[in-house]
Amino acid sequence: MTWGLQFVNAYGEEPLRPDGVVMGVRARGLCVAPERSGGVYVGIYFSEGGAYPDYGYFPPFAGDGIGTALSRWRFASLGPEVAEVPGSSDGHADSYRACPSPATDLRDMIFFQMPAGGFSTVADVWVEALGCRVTGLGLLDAAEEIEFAVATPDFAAMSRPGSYGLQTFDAGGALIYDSRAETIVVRDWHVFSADEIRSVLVDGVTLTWAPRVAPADPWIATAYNRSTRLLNGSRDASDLIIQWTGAAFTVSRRTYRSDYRSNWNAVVYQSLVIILAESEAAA
Amino acid sequence: MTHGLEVYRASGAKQMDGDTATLRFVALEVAPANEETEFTVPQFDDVIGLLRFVQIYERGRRRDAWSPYSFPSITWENGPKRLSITSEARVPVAVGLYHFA
Repeated sequence: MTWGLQFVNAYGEEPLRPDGVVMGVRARGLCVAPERSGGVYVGIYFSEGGAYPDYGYFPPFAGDGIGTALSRWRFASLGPEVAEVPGSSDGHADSYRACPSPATDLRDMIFFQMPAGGFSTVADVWVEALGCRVTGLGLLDAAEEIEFAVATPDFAAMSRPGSYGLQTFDAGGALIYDSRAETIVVRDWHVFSADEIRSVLVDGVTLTWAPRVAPADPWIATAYNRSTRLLNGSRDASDLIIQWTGAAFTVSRRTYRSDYRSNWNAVVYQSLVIILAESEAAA
Repeated sequence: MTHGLEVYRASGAKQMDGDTATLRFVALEVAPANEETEFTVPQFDDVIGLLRFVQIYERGRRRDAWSPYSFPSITWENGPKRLSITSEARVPVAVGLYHFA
């Protein structure tokens, strides 16, 4: 760019750099918990013939029974609407039951109020059969309620009241920012590598990330993550714990001992992305 | 924070100040199932793109197309700006690329 107005933040970054559309807010709401309906827990998954909930779609919490594990999930959904497709085209009697997210576009990103008790796993899938997105967090405190916001680059989906404010455009004339729309107030971001996640689950290392701003009410966005470790022949299963201390995020593990030895391997080490935001900037 | 740009909405809510960064959408790529797919990504220079993925489930494909513990391998080469997706998950994978700054 050789002309125009340049905004630089306190970190030398350009929040309005014209190389992408600034994500605005499509919808907000209170996350919903899975409900037991018709013999299955309705959440992110599908059942087999409606007879048994297939929790393999997203990870149970190590050591928990299925009901307990599912009660920990919170989905970004405007529920209680339930999308369902009975039967399937391949001869298997699968049926999908999901809490559809108001994220109606694969480009959307969902932000969650950071659970005070922390979270363990992240689900983010698109169910083609339902034409919907299902996104949720597995919480450590099953009683906690958290809010969500859906960020989108689709200006048509954003509420943009009024007729004044600031708009910026890219070199092609495309709108990339409109101050009338509510945007996500992003503060910082970090990626824990897959190798680092492995060190947590295998060696018991605790990872720490102190962002450059420590909000009083932190919100986060992240990506699908079901890192876990259960070895064939072992009774010990481990998964992640992601918590906010008030100044930093920590990633640690918890390990459960089962009464039975596993007869299969479940070993997943996935990098963990955390984008830190606030619901809105402090006035 | 004592300097910079402050942006307020009509409601009076402040949504940008000198400590604020933005998340900006750049591109969405969808890799088909069971293939190694490589994309050349435009626009990236000094800012690393954020890679994220959404697994896509299609009706009737679960039993033979999905294993709960296989996942896509996503690599990013910043030099040639190439995004490579090996869809080990055996379902299509969508990867969004975003700028953070």
